[in-house]
Amino acid sequence: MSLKSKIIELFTRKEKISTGGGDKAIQKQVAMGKLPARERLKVLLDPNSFHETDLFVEHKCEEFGMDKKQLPADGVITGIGSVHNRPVSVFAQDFTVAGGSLGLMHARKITKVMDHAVRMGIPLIGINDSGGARIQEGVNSLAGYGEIFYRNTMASGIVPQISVILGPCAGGAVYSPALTDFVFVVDKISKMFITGPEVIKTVLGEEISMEDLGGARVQTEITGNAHFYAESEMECFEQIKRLLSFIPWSNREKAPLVTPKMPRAQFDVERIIPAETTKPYDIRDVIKSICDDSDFLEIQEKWAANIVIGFARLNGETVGIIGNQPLVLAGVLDVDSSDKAARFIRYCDAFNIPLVTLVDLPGYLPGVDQEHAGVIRHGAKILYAYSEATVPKLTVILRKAYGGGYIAMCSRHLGADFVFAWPTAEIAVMGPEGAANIIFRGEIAAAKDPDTVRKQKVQEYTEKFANPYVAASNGHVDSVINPYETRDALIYALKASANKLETRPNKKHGIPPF
Amino acid sequence: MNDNNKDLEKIVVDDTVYMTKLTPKFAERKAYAPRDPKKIYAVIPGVILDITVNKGQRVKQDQSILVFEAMKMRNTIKAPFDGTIKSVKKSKGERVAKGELLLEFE
Repeated sequence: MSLKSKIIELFTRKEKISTGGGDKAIQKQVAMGKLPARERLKVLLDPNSFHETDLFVEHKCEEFGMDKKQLPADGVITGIGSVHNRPVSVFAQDFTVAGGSLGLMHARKITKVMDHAVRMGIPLIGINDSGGARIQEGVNSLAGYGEIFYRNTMASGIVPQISVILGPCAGGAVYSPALTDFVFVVDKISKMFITGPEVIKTVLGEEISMEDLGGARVQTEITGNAHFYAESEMECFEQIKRLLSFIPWSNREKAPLVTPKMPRAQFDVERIIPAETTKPYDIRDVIKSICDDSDFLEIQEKWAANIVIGFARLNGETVGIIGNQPLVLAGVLDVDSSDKAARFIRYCDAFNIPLVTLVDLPGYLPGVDQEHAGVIRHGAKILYAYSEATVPKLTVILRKAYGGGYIAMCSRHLGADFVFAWPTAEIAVMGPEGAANIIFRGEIAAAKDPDTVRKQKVQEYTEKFANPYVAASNGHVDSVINPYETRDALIYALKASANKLETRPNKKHGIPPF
Repeated sequence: MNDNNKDLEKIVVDDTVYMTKLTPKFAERKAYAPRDPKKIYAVIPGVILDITVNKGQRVKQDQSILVFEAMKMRNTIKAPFDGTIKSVKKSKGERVAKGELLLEFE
């Protein structure tokens, strides 16, 4: 055989496998509103940047007639491509090949690009579209999942791991996305659950649709399992690229610097913040009044909306922002918002992203449901995450910072490097009404006109303690600043923290209240 | 902000009333009601395989009162205390959802 004919043979072989499950299966995929696996990689990656690995891998299963079945690329496309001209490790399950089912070789292809990502210090992006375990391969299929989960865990905190759910992702398979940092879902396409509607119906007699059980909305609004919601696959890939513009490629580096831009003028603090502390405003407007180009990438927007988390830039440098949201549940901390913030803080800390905390909360949410849901254990996560973090920690107290909420929101006492407060800040053990009712209980009860006395005492307490100056006089606040100087103060603090070095006693790992 | 105040609700923390929006989870939360030990509820969805007591029957603590199949397991439900059966709400073979009342003591 001549060299030329050998090259032709190579191309023939490649082309045959590259068609995946064939035209008919691909048409079916498209009819479901889904892009074929190879198209997805094309949209995600820079043009012509994809270098495929393991195209010729075949399954080794001989049971149930599988020895006669050829599964192109074993149902998953793997390799290296680039996003923003920087390399990324990718895999995309191909639903047109045996329903994207996962067998041992399919899994080995995935673990190969995972190992590569960790070794090279580049992100891992996995596109999930699979019916689940390849039943014919039995326990070997389970072995494959296990090997992926193990690597997800090992890679955690070393390289960013992104899961894109573009089809079913059910049973044990969902635990790979669950172990990764960011999960992207698309309306009507993503389906995530441990046990599907059919099992639930036969075992429990409860009827529910796939969409209502584990669709994109459920995962982004009710469970908090997913971080980003998109209406279409195209929008989803744009979101991924936007996220990648903010984060470093591994824990060995810092996020890429971009040209600084001033915030847009329409976000004016004086118009955003109401005078009364019991009136709400949208904390995202404050974030936009501070950050570069008023450009804020919010994460988990619809879940536990009483806390806002996301990435923004200050003077070109990426920061992770955590802000209480007075617009929702008065910005209280509760089970879900603590979980949400704690995980994000740990992400930022792992990837050298400074933390900016904006504080305005009345405390932890009272209620039987919260206590019984374990708000003690969950609320402790945020304390743990802030205390543990060694990246620069900058805190701005805008209005209320009461009680346990004050301590939890990256106070000086949990190791904040810089604590700023606005003149509107009220840093106190609790709100004036509650405090006056306790401290002056006897006096109020004994008074002829308890209401007048109560009002008087509340007024007294407010004047004396509902301000930033008591905390400032104790050094718990470094400086009380003009709200209009917030951006400048944070940028100066960030510059001053550039060489921050904080060492901790050596240990295997801590035991966070998971 | 003041234009949006129409859809705001009240929430009380430490005697202070705050105006704010509610999360769906908070809006749909159920008020706490203390558990009535005389009422036996299904703690998991399943099927009633057998009911071994009748209305008006006196039973001893730990006596089997019904057999309940859930998650492919047969669970024997026992009387939590000595007492008399006030009413049986379900019948043999019936499928019940989580939280349904199965039986009541006097």
